[in-house]
Amino acid sequence: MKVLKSYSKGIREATLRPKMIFILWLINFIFGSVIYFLFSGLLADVLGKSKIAEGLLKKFDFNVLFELLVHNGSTIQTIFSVALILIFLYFLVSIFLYGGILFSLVHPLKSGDVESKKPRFAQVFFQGAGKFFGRFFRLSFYSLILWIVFIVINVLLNLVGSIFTASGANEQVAFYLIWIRIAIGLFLVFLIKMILDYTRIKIVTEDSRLVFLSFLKIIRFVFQKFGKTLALYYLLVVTGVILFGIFWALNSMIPSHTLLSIFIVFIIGQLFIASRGWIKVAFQAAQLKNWMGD
Amino acid sequence: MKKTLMLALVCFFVFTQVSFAALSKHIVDYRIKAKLIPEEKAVIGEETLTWLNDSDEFVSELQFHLYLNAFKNNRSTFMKESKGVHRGFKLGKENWGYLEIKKIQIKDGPDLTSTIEYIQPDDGNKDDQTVIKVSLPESVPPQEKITLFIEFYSKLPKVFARSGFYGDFFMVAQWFPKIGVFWNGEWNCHQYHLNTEFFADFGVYEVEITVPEEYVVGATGLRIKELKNEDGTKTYTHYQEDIHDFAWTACPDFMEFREKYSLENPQVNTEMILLVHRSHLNQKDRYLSSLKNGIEFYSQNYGAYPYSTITLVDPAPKASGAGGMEYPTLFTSMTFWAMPRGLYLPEMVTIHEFGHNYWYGMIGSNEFEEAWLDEGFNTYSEIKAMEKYYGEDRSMIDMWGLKMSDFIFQRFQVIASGKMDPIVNNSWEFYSGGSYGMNTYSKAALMLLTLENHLGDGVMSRIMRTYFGRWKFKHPTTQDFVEVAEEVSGRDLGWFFDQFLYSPDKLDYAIGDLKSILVKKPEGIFEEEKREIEESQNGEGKSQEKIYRNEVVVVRKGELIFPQEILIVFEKGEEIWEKWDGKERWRKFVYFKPYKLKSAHVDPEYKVVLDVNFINNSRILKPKKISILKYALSLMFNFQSILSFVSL
Repeated sequence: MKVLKSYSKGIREATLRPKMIFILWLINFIFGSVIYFLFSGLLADVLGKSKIAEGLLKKFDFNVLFELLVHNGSTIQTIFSVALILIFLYFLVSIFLYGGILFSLVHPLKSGDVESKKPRFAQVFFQGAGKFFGRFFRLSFYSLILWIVFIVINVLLNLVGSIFTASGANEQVAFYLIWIRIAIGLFLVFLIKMILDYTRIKIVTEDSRLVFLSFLKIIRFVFQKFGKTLALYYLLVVTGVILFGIFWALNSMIPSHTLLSIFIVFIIGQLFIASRGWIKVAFQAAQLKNWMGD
Repeated sequence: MKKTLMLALVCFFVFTQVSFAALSKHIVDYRIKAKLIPEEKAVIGEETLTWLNDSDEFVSELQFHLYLNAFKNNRSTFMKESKGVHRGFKLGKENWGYLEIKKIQIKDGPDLTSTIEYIQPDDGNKDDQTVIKVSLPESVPPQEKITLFIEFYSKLPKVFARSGFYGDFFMVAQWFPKIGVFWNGEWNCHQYHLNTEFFADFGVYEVEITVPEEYVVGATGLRIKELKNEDGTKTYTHYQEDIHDFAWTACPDFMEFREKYSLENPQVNTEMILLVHRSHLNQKDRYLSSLKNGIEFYSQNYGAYPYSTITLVDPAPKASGAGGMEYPTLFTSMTFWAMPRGLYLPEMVTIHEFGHNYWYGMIGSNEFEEAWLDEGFNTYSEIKAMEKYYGEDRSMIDMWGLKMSDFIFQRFQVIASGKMDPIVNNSWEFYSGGSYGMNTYSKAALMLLTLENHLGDGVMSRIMRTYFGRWKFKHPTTQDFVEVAEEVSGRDLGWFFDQFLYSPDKLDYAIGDLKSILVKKPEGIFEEEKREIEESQNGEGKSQEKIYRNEVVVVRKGELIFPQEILIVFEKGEEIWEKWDGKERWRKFVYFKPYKLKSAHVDPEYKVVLDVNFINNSRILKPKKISILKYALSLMFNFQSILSFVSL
């Protein structure tokens, strides 16, 4: 019951913060735009004058993709390098944003008046982002311990799997083992992310500078309240999956053959990205509620 | 009793065929007794070989392939070239294989064992023992025969390159001492290399295979005898004429399925034998249905499948190194239990390997020296067969909304390749395994498709049928095919084959420039006579109508030359087709019209599939950027999604 309360509170808090979601979407959009300009430049250069581009509007053609890759390898490599740099920068920015999200969520929760915070939203958001960036950045380093454990578990699972599949006689076993390993892998990834979420929440709510200690305490907390924390996390994950399903269904219903339909598909895509921001805020708000409740 | 009677009838049928309907000249006659020793992963064998000297020379020595010695140590030519890896499969340590001749003697004559000498005709690598020569006390005169008796021991490697074992699965191929081909007055007996396959004379094979009785056996040819022995083993005797190799397989986990296959036109009556590994039982129907498609396609397009059996072997899991390989009347395919329905890999491999019964099995070209004659022809046939049975645009992948044809996959190999080798080359002399594969399979297939599009379907079909009909059960060369192509088409095709078979260069034609310029009205002082000439040339006339000088420049970017068709489209919908021999580096076409150009397209139907760049084949004067917007936005969205996952 407590889990559902935290979940609904999280969803409500996220829905009440369109500005925060707008900021998250805008930053994502800016990063995405770099890739848009790079790729549209490449495509315009290579395909722009060719009649073959007309056919691509209705039907994807592997011939074109392969030619594009083969004849423009170095340009595409450069764009990929830029994309990797952007991903790294975005990772840093997202650490920054976590501070803003949590600080903004904690403040109205403390005052108990969400509406009164509205005029000062940006100030509170960026103040929190700046204040906690250093601590959250350190936390990312400490999280490497968990990621190393994750790798070790994967290696062990690989070894165990190879015992079962050594004879090679039963491919079905090998097939199902792969899926089991993927499931375990995803479970561990979610678990680590959940631990990091609660650590950040603890740091913000307690304004703690003892990042590593908070990290250790949260690991204990998560395992003490394993069922509750996990249930809440997976409820939010399922919400994200449902959102993706809705997006996928809408996207596949619209054949983007005209300028208007391309625009509609683009808008739907951006709404989906915004919904990712919304779910991100919901995750933090729901887990914050769960943490505060305990 | 009934079984014995049936076998007697089969034997009668088989032997009457020997007397009256030999399809090939029988240069070799092998009678082999083989016993599988599973615990040693080895085969003990006795071979009686009769060889006919079909040349005009006296032959004083014989040469043999001992293919399994390629896996004897890490210094063999095969292992040096492959570094123990073949098609991505690795040879594990202490899993060596070898072929040892215990004894070789002329039947009822002298022992020749002491005259055995390892030779290395290709690379002089003294550690390579894949070819031997045996000196004869007396030369074999022309058109005379010699019969030899050979005792041998074949230790199989853990399978990674065609032959070998994995657990209790055995693929027994290239396993016995096999005589080379005395061709053009000399022995053609090459070493076993990473990129080489095989070459041998046609003849008769009768092989007795003894295995523990729980093993299911598949082998080349027709089973004429099956005998249960007292020591817990079974002996299967297989017989086949008009073939040039013999392979067999044994595994207790094989499930055997037999199904008759008949075709009326041309008349085909054969038995399909499927040996599917127990763990791939769910793939049975895919295998059988694609095999039927293969028999139908090749029989209808090239000539009736003449043998009474065709055996499809599904290698055990983790024995994929044995998969995708052809032997006469038997071949291995490949799959796995969870193979997605829309990924046509088992179908493609089955059709391809079955097809080798034509391009390799019956057309016995020299795979060492001209691999394209089997791999290229077979990939060309495979592309056409896959398109016919699985859809032109989805003959390789049709899943999750993704569609890709076999043709596109083969073309990708060609456009992604460098310019290292020509198609015709000794297989072991290619720059790399990738270059060998790309040239002999993909580029050769695209070359034949380009020829087909150039000559027309009907002419190409007649060329292929004539070539197959004329050269089946013989050893044709590239020149033989070129002669057939020129004879049937009635054209000189030297320009085509000389470029595409013997040059590593690429073919690429493009629209270099496209412009429509408004012709200025005459200003200044003109000599009246000259002015009139200009007017008639430019089509200006005396009207006030706007006139455009429309220019289309077609360029040859690659080295290879091919005649081109160019479609030029104007704004009012007028279309002009131009022809260009494609020889110069560029050609400009100029038109004076009262309207502008819309587009120009060299090879608008994409007939010249060897062209490595289709994108530059066309150009539009006023491009619409809507599709670029679509794909750029789509890529942007995908990147945004990645970012949102990174941060979640």
